[in-house]
Amino acid sequence: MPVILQASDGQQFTISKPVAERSMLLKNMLDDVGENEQAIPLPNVSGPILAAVIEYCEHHKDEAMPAADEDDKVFEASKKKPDDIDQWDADFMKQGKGNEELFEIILAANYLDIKPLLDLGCKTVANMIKGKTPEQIREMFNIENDFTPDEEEQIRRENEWAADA
Amino acid sequence: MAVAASTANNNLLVVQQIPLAKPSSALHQKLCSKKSVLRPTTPASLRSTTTRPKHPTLFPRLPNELLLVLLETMPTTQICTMRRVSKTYAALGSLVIAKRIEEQLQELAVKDVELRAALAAAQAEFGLHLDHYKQFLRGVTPSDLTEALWYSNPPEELRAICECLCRLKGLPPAAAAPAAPATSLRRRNATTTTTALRSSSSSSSVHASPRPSSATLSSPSSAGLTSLQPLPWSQIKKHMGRYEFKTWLLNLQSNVDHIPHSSIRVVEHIIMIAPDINYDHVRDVSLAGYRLLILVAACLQYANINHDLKAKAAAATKVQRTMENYKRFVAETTALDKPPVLVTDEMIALAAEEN
Repeated sequence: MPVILQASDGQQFTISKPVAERSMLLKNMLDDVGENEQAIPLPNVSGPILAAVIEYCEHHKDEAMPAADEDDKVFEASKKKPDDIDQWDADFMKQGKGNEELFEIILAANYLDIKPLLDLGCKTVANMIKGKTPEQIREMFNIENDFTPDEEEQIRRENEWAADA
Repeated sequence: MAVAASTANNNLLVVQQIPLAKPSSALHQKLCSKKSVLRPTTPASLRSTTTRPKHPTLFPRLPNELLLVLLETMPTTQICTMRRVSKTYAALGSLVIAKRIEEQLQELAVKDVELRAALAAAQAEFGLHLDHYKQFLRGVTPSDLTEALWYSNPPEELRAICECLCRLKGLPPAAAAPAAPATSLRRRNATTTTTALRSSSSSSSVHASPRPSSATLSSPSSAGLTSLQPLPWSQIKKHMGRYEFKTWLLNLQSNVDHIPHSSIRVVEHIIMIAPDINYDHVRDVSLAGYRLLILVAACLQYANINHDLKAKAAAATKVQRTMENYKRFVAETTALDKPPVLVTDEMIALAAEEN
């Protein structure tokens, strides 16, 4: 039984149940509602972003879902290794995706509760930031420096204390 | 077995055996050996990416919940960089780091107890040996030095022992590595054999060094000592003839604490590869050389134990300092969360009244 998803811009996508169930949100909805021919509205996800998320889920549909208790441990452990990204995943995040699309995918992954995709998005951002100075990061993401010189000095001191953590 | 020395009538070091729990060290075995022993000698600069985007990105507008997930993905050094970007990231980064610190503090507390216990145990066990070896460095008489310097062409064993003392004292930079005439030197001549001299090795001097496990004798190849050139006698004699050297030797009991470990390794290397340097043989060659060898051996044993104890103490101190820093970080970042105390006009007026 296919599942129909409707993006915020009205675009509809028909996908198989195993693909939909990569999303914990959709899985729970399908478990609760049962088989239904009505489209599931996803008001927080635009058509292009939903298409990208579906592409990701299609590719990973055959992978085993980690058990709930194991899930957190594996996820926590993998989170601290930003370089540990599968080649297909790395290419997927690069293909025609600017910063905006990347953050929208992160938001969508969070909304749809797709932890591996959220993890992938975060790792990609972490890799983008890697090696950059605070000033470069501010300019890259247009973030305002709201520190006073004294506060900057305080942060620098605190960072020294936390360096080994 | 360990041996304590006392001064006998003839001013020679007479040894008394005292029981020690640990087996003798490689150095001791070598020095007490009957046969000559020859050991094998064996980020790129950051390019600016500071093109300001034409439009503000979504990144700063991600909900804190997601920014926290994002920060959790990063190693601590990267989070520290993010903390310097803006106040929001400083606060969120503090949360993530504080959580990591909380997890690590428990492990560090256990490690701290273990390291301190290990240090206390090592101090209790090896502190006695430090005293033992220091005994040999007290009451050094200058006569042995005078006797050694009397030679115009000393036996190779005596020359090597004197070189050891010079290297322990520290050589002037210019004198550090000149080559001596090859004819007078046999340091790396592995085929040279000597007669194994018969005498009671149990009555030898600086015995049995039950040292902490990490204080193994340096491997010549690993230490890069194979290129070490023996010092010519003229240079050794000049160096040892200085008043400064004599003063150093007479105060060896305190100066031993300042001998760099690199010098200790060099001297160990010299002794371990010299085919004829052992107590029995050297005693037959030169009594002055024998007594100077006892000094050298005592320095090596003392310095190795001391080095290991210092390393244990440093490890314990490092953990304690890390814990203090972590606690300070948590205390400071928690304090940042407190609302700032605002100085109101009323407070200023009250203070003015009090004055």
